[in-house]
Amino acid sequence: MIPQIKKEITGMALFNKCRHDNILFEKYASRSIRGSELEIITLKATFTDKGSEVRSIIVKFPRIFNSSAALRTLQNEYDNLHIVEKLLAGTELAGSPPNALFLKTINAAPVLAVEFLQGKCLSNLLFSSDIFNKFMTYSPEVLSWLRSFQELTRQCGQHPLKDHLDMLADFHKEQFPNFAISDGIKIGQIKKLFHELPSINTACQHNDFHADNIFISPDGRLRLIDWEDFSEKSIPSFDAIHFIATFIDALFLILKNSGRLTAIEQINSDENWKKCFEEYFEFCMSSLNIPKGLREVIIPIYLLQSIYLASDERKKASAAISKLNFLLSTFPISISDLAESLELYHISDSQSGNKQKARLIDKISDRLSSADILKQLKF
Amino acid sequence: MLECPKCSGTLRAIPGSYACQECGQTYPTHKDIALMGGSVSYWDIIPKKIMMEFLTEAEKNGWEKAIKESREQRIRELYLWTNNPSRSDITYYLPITDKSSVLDLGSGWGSYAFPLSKRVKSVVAADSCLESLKFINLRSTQDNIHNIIPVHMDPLDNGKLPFKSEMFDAVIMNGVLEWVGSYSKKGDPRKIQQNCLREAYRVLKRGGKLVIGMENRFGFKYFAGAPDDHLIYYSRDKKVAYTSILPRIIANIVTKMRLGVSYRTYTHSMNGHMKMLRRSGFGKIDFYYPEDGYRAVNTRIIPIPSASADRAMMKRYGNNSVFRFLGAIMGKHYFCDSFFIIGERTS
Repeated sequence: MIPQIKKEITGMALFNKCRHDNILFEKYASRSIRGSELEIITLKATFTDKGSEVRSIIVKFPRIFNSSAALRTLQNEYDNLHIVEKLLAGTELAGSPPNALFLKTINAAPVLAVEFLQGKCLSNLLFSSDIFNKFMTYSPEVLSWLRSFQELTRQCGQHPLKDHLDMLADFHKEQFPNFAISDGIKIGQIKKLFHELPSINTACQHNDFHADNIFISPDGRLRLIDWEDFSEKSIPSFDAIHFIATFIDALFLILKNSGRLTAIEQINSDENWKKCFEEYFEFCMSSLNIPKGLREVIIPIYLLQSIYLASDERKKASAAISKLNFLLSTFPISISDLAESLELYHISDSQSGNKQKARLIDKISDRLSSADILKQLKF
Repeated sequence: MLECPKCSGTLRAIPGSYACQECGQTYPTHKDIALMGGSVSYWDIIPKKIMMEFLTEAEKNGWEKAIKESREQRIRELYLWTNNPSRSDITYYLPITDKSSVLDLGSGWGSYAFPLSKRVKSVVAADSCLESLKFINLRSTQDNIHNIIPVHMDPLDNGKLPFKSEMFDAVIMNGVLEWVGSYSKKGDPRKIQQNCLREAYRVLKRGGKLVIGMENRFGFKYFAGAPDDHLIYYSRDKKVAYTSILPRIIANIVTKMRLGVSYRTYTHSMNGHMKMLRRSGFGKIDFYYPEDGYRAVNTRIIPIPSASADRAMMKRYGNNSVFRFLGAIMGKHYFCDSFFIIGERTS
């Protein structure tokens, strides 16, 4: 496959008609949350001249060439990059997404080429020994980007949010008929609360806005990759919540994998961390002008939307869906609640966290006003 | 496609076997597996008895269920390796198409053959372990895959592949070449490996490519004291280190003293591979560094030499002053722990 791609791009103006042998392909390690059949292989193609790297592009193609779901993923990314490029043209955020170079069939496989973003991936910058200060340093910049993005895309594709929410709730009920929250009053409560709000519209969101997809370019600008899930019809502030939630989740996962379960508990009971998350969350809500009534239910709505996105035929991310369903069943309202639910999720399969588990279950049970949903969970 | 391993004569398919049109030798078949090997060899990380029980279970309840629900942890652990197509990602570096024929030499449980079968015309899964081929055959039937051809053959030490010349667009030898020479117990393993490479060259079409996945003789982990990956199979308790980087004659004395066996699982450096492949006729040779090892799932694959490979090596071993010293002399990539190598038959 790669030799065919090499042949195709050799001679393109893009590589300044470089010699065939001077293009090196590096296959990136892939994240394995998706079914292998749906996976996309990502490569960095670098044109070298006398040993030094001159220019790079990113090339993607499906592992299984005729996979329609994988083709749709590439097509979505290609289309979305063009949509976002137009939306942001001439603004301060122009150039935030990479340029889409081509989407063409090579050797019976759809191949997408996009610009390679120079700079450092935010997750590498955040997850260092100085993680607390790093989060405080970079998160305002992230929020500033989100605020500008919201302003610049305010006028496009607006739909009543309550219709979107109805769709999410119905989707969830249909997909997971045995799930306690679908039958209970919680979704009803969210919907009731929401219907009482003044009319709010959906918003343009990246929909996969986490530190792995954010780059800080050498000139200090924020740049974003993986636009395949971008939608003009999403939940306002979804990206901001996703950024915080995935950061907390990744942090807990790292601690869990290194056997430091009590460190997770320490973070959740550390006032500095708590304050940091809560204040940042509140700052996000006010900066993004999320009305009060919506703020009260935004976390469960965020989880519903995440489940909807993860359930897409293109992803079939079953592990992610069951995790999100678990989190939803604990009915987190605030970002601290969500952190506790994530803590419970990460220690739930561990033998050593029994005491921690009992404490959290007690705490989370208080959150649930109706049926004791946690009892239905298998521990 | 098949030829007589004894006289290189053309084989004719007759019910239940293949017959050589030149010397008359017949080779039976067992449930679609062509039995071209005369010697009985069992090689797998699973003991034969457990493997046989597993095959019965897989036939009864389906291969996937049999692996996932096996009482044997060693079998359950194989699921990720068997069923994850990313293990064969180096094959995307080959110019193969849906018209290509590929030979997977030492196919094991089919971690290359099954993903490849979705992209090429046919894959010949050749192994000297009949039980592994029975698994491949079983899985192919159960998954409705019709383009994997299982062929049982003698260990590669025996020097002759039972295939006609210039038949394949690609030959895969993943974790195989280093074992060539260890079955026969006599003769220079290097010469036996060289002969095997010549055979791989012979069965490749012009422009066809050979893929080798193998540990680097001078992988820096061995300088740092990591046990020899291949000697573990002789004794799990006695871990023997430094053998790959020692002169072969000294490594031989060490393994005889520690394990009571000769040192025959030869790995090679970049230069060593270059020499062997060139002597076998391969014209163009490319090296790649699989960051997590050539057997890993979802590994990053970096061309070497490249700035990217040097960065990855520095990330891994940059704190070690010996590595920095050796890397400055030979190039950092020279010490990566394992390789994928692609050699092209150019003429």
